[in-house]
Amino acid sequence: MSQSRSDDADAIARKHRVEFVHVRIDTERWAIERGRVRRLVRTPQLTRIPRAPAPIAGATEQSGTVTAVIDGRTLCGADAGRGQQADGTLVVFEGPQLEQRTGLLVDHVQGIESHSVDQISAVADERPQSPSYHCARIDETAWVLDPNRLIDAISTGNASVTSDQ
Amino acid sequence: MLLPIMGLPGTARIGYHHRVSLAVCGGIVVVGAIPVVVTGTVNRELIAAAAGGTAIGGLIGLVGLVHLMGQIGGLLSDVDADADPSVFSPTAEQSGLVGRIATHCMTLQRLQRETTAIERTAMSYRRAIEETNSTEMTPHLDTAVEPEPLAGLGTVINTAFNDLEARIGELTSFATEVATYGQELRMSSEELHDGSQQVTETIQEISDNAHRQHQELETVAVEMEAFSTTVDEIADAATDVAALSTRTVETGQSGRESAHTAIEGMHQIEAEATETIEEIEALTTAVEQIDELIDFIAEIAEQTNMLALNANIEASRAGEAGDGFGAVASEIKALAERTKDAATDIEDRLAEIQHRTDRTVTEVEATSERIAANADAIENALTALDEIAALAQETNDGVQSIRQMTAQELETTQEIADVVDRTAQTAASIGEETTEESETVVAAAQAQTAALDQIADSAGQLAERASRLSSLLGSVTPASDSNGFEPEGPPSTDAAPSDDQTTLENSH
Repeated sequence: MSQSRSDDADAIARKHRVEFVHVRIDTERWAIERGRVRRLVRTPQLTRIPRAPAPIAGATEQSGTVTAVIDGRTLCGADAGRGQQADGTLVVFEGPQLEQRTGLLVDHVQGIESHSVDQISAVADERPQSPSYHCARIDETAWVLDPNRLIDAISTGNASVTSDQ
Repeated sequence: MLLPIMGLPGTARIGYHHRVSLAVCGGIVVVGAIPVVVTGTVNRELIAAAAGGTAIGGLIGLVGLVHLMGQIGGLLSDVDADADPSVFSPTAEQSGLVGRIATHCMTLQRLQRETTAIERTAMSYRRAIEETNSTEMTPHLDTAVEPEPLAGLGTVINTAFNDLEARIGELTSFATEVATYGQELRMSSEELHDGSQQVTETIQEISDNAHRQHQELETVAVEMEAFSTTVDEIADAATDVAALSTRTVETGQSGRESAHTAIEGMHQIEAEATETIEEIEALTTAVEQIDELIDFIAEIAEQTNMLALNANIEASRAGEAGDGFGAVASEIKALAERTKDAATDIEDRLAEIQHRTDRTVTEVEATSERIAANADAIENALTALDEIAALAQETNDGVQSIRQMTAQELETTQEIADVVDRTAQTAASIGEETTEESETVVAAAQAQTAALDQIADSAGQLAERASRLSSLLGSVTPASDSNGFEPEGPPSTDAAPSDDQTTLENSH
């Protein structure tokens, strides 16, 4: 009986919490909802893509699938210039709406952390300088990145180079 | 004075004959007085000779005059007796007497002529004598006159004047010599006086020098005593230095052995330091290898962590079915993170070890270099110690020689001090004797100086008197009054001598 209550409480608690994969790009902490992450790949082998937009660092092959790699440093305005062997970890996005498997190359994956929904605040859309791929903020410590918006911004050429914090 | 001798009855009866006789006697007396005047500046012998000649001439004249005056007296008595007027009747005897009177008158006329001749001769003699001077004393009286006694008288006077001139010449020469000698004597006396003064000063200086020498010898004796003490102290110091030199040699040898030991120890430490460096380098290599392993472990941990993250993601994709797998993935992730932390810790510690190892290697290398440098310094010190030992040995030998020489010097110094002491005593006695003798000599010299002063004064007076004598002899002339023949009283040979004569006799 008590076990059942505890399970119920855990279920309720889980419904009020959201897990994020925390990453670090240069000096910024970003968070990506865990359900939007397909897998993590360390130091992927990159192949440069000619005439690709600036944030696209290249492409890599993972389990027979070509994945476009977006350089998080380029997005943050930090030094890009990654070589063929990219230092860092590729966060491969998950999403059925994505026509092309895409991943974000970050400097470091700090881990998966669970946060209460109370800690998460939405980003006001009316801020003209705010990047379009920022969808929320966690306790003023990390930006929550929306992979779909990021890909759209890159596709439309509106991906800002720097984030407005 | 001559009247009683001539037997005349009174001066009233003295007529022409008396005057003639007195004139002759006065001339004789004048001639006799000449030597007296001269001998006022000569001697008694010359005076006696002149007086003798004068007396002889005078006596001859007097005898003739007495005889002549006796005849004249008898004739006058006869004339007085025959002059009675009452008995004027010439008799034969009277006639004879008149004839005799005539004869006597003729005789008187003759006598008058002779007297006139004598008077003229006397006048010529007087002029001749008056014309004599100091350069030509001889009057050259004419001896071819009458009567013969007068001619003899002239001859005697000429002889006396010649003799007197010769005597005066000798006397002048003698007076000149006396003046010269007196001058020289005065100069010599002055020189002797100066010399005597110098002798006095020199003797006084000698006395002072003897006294000062005595004091200096006493000072030298004291100094020699101090020097002897110093030499004795030097001998003691030399002995101490010899002992110190011996100890220095021994210490040098000991230090040399210690230096050898230190050098060996340094070489051993250097070798061990080299081995230590090699070991540390090997340890560094091992640490680096461990660091590589740690990196590998960290990489595995990272991969494990990534694998756990992916497993977690996969588990979440599986929904509730994947919760168990997610839990396992979380445990694996935690294990991977612990592994990574441990690897990081190990890596940090290895880095610390490596840092310390590097520092140790640096310090050991520096120590090795310092040891090498110290080894060189110790070798230099060893060389210096060898030199010090050799020098100390030489010093010891030299000090030994110095000690021996100092001992000899001490004996010599003692002997010198004794000699100086005796010399000082001798000098003291000599100085006292010298002082006494010098005082005596000074007194004698002062007396001599006084005597010489008197001699000089006397010599000066003698020279002055001789000069005056010489001038007197040069200007001497026969003494006579203006009238010539009748001096009131001729100077007697018995008369008191003049002041000059007295002074000259005293001077002689």
